Amino acid sequence: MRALLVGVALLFGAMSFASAQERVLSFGVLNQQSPAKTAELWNPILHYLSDVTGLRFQLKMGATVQDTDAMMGRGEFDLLYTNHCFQKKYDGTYKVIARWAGPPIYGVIAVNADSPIKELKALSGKRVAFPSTGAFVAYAVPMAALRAAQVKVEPVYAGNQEGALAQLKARQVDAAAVNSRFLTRYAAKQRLRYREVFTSEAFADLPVVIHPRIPTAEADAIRNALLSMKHDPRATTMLERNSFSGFDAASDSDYDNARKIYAKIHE
Amino acid sequence: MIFGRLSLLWRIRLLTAVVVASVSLFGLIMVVFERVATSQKEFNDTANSIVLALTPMLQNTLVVGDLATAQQTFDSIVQQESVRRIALLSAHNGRTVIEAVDPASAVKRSRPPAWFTTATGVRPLVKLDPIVVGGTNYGTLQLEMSQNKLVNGLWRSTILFLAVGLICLTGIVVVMGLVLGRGLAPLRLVTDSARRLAAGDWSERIPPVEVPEIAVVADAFNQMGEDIVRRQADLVRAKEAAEAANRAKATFLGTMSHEIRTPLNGIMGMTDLLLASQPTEEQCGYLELVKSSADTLLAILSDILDYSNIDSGRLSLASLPIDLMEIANEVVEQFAFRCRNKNLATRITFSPDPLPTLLGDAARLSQVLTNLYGNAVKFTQFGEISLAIKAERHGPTHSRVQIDIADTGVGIAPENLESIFDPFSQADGSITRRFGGAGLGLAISRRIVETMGGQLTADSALGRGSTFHISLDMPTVLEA
Repeated sequence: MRALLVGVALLFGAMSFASAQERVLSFGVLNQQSPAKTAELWNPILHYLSDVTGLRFQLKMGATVQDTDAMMGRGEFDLLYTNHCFQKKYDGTYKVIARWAGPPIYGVIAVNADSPIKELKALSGKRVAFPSTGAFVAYAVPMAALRAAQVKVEPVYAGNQEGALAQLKARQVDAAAVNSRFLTRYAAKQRLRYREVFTSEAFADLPVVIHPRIPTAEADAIRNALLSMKHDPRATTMLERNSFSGFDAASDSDYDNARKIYAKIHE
Repeated sequence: MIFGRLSLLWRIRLLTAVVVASVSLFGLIMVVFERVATSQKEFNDTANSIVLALTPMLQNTLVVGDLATAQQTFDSIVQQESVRRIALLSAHNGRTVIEAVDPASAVKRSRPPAWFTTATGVRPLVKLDPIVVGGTNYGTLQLEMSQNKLVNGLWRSTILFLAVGLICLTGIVVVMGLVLGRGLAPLRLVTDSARRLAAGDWSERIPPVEVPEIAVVADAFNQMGEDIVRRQADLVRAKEAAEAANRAKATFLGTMSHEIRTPLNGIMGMTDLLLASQPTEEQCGYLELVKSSADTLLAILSDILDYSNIDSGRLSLASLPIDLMEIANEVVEQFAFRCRNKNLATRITFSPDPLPTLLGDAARLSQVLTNLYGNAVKFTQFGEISLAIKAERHGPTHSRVQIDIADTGVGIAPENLESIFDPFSQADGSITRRFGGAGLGLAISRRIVETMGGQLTADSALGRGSTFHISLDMPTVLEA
């Protein structure tokens, strides 16, 4: 009898394990760049997480920021790399388990270096490129500043930050709102000479958040894998190739200033 | 060979057509295969371009799982004539996830015949390109390129080239035919002039011709005509000179014969008188010898005179009813004494018996028969001499008369059989010495028979005798 119970327990254990093995966790990523470039960056990270945790992940995202946000609202992601979850309508579901490593980021409104625009007020009535209304640092933050300064601009939505800066470089717009890190990288790569007419307060970089339906043990395993990545030799090549430093520990409270911005923008 | 029977014009046309067609065909094949190589590369490049252009779009759409956009893109791309099918295969099991097939591909058959498609060696092209992003395989892009556009293009080019080539070839042949036809037309003038010249129009000349090559021929022809006229005049003059000489010879012979005969008659008359004057036996022998020599000389003179008359065309024949049996019998009787002396048997036959009465010259026939029969007696030492005459009706008014005189004499060698009919000729020199005679008898006899419209021939075997055949076609006296 005892042997039978042990056998049944082993069988269920094996089935449970097999089920976990076949289960694929959907990992959403905010549309900061094209889906292909997003996949180029994130698929190696997900492969690394699979190797370390034994779990399986699948990159999932909408065609647009709005689509991805809508998918988030429907709870389609098990994990997600975004800060849109701090908007009031989504806030409270996903929990922060780590954040993109590195210094904080700033919202920036940049003009061409030879532009006569020197300050925020000079942007009044000008064409300003934004990635999309879904962007936080590149839209919500600068837009909140513009509103606070009572400057009304003609927004031009370029789809993503690269598009916004491309329009600036081509002088199709007078200014472009992007995040500071992307601006630095783009300017170096595309030889864009620019000047910042607005720089926001510091914001923690985007977090990885997890849906509460994921068991705690798996959530812990994933968090540990993310945080240990920067020290793991297996991830070295991947980190160097993509020029990022892995993930740092973070908590929900680190994004309170983001919540405030969202609150302002949706007033 | 049909080619051998073709005119020069058609030979040139045919050869030109064959050469131009061969060169054109060779050029066409070279061009087609060059285009096949170039087009195959373009075909491959097009496929690569489509894959290269499609991959980033597919990466974006597949990462977000937007298969609808991928399907729309596929539907758009497959409208290209060169794309037959485009599909996305599952990364897990290789099955088709989405696909687009050229709706016209089922009916868009290649217009060229199958052999042409096979000959070009162009095959459908299938490209497989895995869609891998960040190390994750999202599936495989399968692109099937149709060779229809490429082969259709090649086929159109080939047909166009063939059509243009055919038109050019026809043009070349027609133009060449016209040019050559006009150029060779003067040849007809040459032909017509040659025919008129051959028909005896010695004044025929080819008028001036513009085509240089044919002008050379025409000049040569005209020169030939001038030469012929000149040589003919020379021949006429030579003939007239020869005839004058012959007449002079005949006159000379006739005169000489007459002049010789006169003293000869004196010699013969005196010899007869001496023989009648009771000479001694020895003198009698001498006189007989003189008489015999004189007789022989007279006979020779008669023959020479006779031949001279015949040769100069002065032989005239009578056409009177003759009894050929009587003539034959008289000839045989004439030599009967000599035959008996030589113990020769004689035989004479007529068929039919009696022979019909014929129209002819009895004296000349008698002369011929006497000559031939006399020869037979002269050259036969033993055996038999026969004379056979056969007459057959030949048409309503004529009879074919065949006279055969056969002997069992010395015979004639085959190589001498024809020369015995030449004047002053005998089978060999020893005959003249042995049997005497001037060698004119057979020549005279043949000329007489030929003047009568007949033939005199002989067949013989050396040592076995000879047979002389006279064939005559003579008018028959129809009985009332």
